[in-house]
Amino acid sequence: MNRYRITYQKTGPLRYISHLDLQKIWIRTLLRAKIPLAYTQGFHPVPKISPGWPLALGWNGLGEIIDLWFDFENLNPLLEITEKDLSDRINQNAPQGLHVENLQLIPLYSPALTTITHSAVYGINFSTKISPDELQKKMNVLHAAPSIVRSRRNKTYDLKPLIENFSIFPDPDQNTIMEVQMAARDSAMGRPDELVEALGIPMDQIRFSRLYFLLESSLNI
Amino acid sequence: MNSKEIEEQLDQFLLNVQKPGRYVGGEFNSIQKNPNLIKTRIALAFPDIYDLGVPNLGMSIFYDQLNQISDVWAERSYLPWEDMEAEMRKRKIPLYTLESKTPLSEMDMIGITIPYESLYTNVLNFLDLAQIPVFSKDRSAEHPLIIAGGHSTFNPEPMSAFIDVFVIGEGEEVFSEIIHIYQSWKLENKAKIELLHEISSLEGVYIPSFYEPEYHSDGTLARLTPVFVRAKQKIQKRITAVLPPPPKHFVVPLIDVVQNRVAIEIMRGCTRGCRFCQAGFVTRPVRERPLEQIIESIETSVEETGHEEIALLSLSSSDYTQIQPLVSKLHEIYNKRKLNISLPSLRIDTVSVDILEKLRGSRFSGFTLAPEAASEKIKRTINKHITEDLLLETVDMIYSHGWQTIKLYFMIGLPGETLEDVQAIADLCIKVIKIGRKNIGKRSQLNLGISTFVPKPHTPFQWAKADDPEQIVEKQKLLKDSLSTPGIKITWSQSDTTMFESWSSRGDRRQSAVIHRAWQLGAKFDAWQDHFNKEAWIQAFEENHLDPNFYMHRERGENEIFPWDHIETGVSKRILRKEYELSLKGDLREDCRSGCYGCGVNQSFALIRAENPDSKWFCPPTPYQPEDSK
Repeated sequence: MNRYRITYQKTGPLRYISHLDLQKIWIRTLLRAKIPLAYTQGFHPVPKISPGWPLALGWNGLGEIIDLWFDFENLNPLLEITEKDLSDRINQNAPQGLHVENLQLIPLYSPALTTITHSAVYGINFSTKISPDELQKKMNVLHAAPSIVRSRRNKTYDLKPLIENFSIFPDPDQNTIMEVQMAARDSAMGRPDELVEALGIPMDQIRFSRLYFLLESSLNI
Repeated sequence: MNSKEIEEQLDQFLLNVQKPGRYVGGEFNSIQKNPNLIKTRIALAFPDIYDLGVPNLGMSIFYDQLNQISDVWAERSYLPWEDMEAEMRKRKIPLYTLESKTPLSEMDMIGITIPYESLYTNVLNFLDLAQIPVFSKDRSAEHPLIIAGGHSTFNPEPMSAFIDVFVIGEGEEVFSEIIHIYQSWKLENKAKIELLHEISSLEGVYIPSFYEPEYHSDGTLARLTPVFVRAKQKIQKRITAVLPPPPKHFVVPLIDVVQNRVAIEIMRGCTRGCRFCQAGFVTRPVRERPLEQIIESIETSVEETGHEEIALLSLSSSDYTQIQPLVSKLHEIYNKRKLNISLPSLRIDTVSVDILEKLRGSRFSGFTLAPEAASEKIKRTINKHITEDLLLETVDMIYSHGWQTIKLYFMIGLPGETLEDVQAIADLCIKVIKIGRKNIGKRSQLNLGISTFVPKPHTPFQWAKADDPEQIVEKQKLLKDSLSTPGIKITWSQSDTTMFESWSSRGDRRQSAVIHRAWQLGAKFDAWQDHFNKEAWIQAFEENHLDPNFYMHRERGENEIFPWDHIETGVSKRILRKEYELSLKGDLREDCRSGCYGCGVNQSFALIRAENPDSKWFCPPTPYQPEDSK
């Protein structure tokens, strides 16, 4: 059994597919690619897969992560599958919008993906509804406050400590872009849409992308 | 609105609707083509939501088949759920194809599958959302040609005002023939009527606008007259002499749908002659797919889809002559793999238990059987005669082999049925659950599906009246009271659904106006229990001076001309009448594999059969003269 950490994109039609459905898409894609999945033990074996934190519906994921376990021992030797072409095989059998960027063998018993995820970096495209300067001013005001109290699912929380870093710049089409690093831990999950709401900017025509994750152990692998 | 604008609009509101994955396409095995290289663009439509439409086998067959033609692009379209419909209407977004987001009004043809009557209002809603006039007479050569097929169209009359061309019977050959005619018609830039004339020359095609009905003063049909000399008096259904190989490329949905599986049809038609079963009469003759072809299709489609469930479909799987070798082979190939194989419609006998034992995967939990009736009288009425001993023996074997749940299907409301006949169902079910308890104690479960019988066209019961709603209520109550014991769970057909099916399945041309009015009054998704809008339908009937009871609760005269009499399935009306009379006398008719009784199929398709001498049909080579055979 081998464990792989896969970085992939979830874009296009797949933006509208839920976290749970996406796991089934992964399994079917791997079955089509004839990559032997490892299964859990027990009465109802299910493929061993461990996805990263869910991505909100409608957002682009440009650096999503999933851990997959493959069982090459059951592989038909005639197929001559090599690790090198694994990502090609996946991409050939993936639906539109699912694309593997990177595939890396990791130690079998390294910690779970979500426990070592520290932060996520989001791109917020404000189109032309606010200029970079104006946005910077708004962010400065927000940042000066001692806390940013928000309420979500009937619970209040402080958004401020979840904002770890940000930068604002125009893209070549003169859209205003903010890249913001937010906490992505079990107990502390920052949401960029909450930030936009806290800034008092109407949500229409704003596009969100999750650009990449920051993992605690990324240096150790 | 063009496809780019549609996509931009969708991005603005799709997050506000449930399951947005229904509306975006992009599935694996969905087909993209370069529109500049395409001569004919077709939308294949299932007039209900994506979740129900994707598993439809007919759609899969035509999608695979038509896209193999290089200058044809067949895309798919389904009906949006109400929340999506509201957004689309608010923003004036036309219904579009999933593959390219092209408005349906820009298609050359739209092929709509209508497997059951409760989709009728949905078809109108579908056309309206596509911004296409719902009435055939209001559409010109500028509009897509609207083609419909599917089992409900064996009585095309209720939908005759909305559909340009009905395909009666099997569409595998005729669809591409229609495309061929369409392509040359389009080059010549002629009127729509010219196109319809040319298409009407094809076998198995019905153009309703070429016919005019006349009625007797009592409301029954007097005649249906062709308005053009060239229009055929009778439309014979289309069949393929040899079943073509099953589709290879199934679209794999991105979201969960009602059946996440590959379906392979192993056999078409049935020789059993159960008198209530429309499919059994309209899909004759019996044709099988070769074993090797089935195995190959399963292997390819499992590889191509990544599905972990396969369903082998037919009307009576036990009658597939290669069933044992097929099951053994599947067991051999897939025993070690995590694949579930379902084989519905098995006969009630212990052999079936052996068969399913072999296919049983880790998730297999229930066993389904359809005795349909319990009393000797009703078993004879419907010509499905399973002895109680055999049923109980089978049940005993099922429970003792480790299955905990048995599902049994029964019907109530059959012609001549009394409360005693219904009591027999209850008594039988008690015997079944006792066998379960004897074998595995309280874990044993019996799930009952009690449906209400609806007389269907082209069956021996097409003359019969549907049972009175009060009777049905009483019969259901009897079952409920007799079977309120732990381990038994009952599901019923809703009385409203039954009523709807009763009047629409044997309806005539005048019902087009009723369907249109009911839709205007808000009827849609009639198949969805909580959506059935009874008031709208009653009002629509009243406004059109028609009585639903005329269609439902009237024993029809022996010589009455039926609105579907011009549609020929091959089984003669004379034989259907004979079967009805036998049924009333309680006489059984044996499986016609054991002796031809001259139902008519053999004579009707003698020519096709002669042209395909290698095709194996389960009819004797020379049908004898059937006059007074019984």
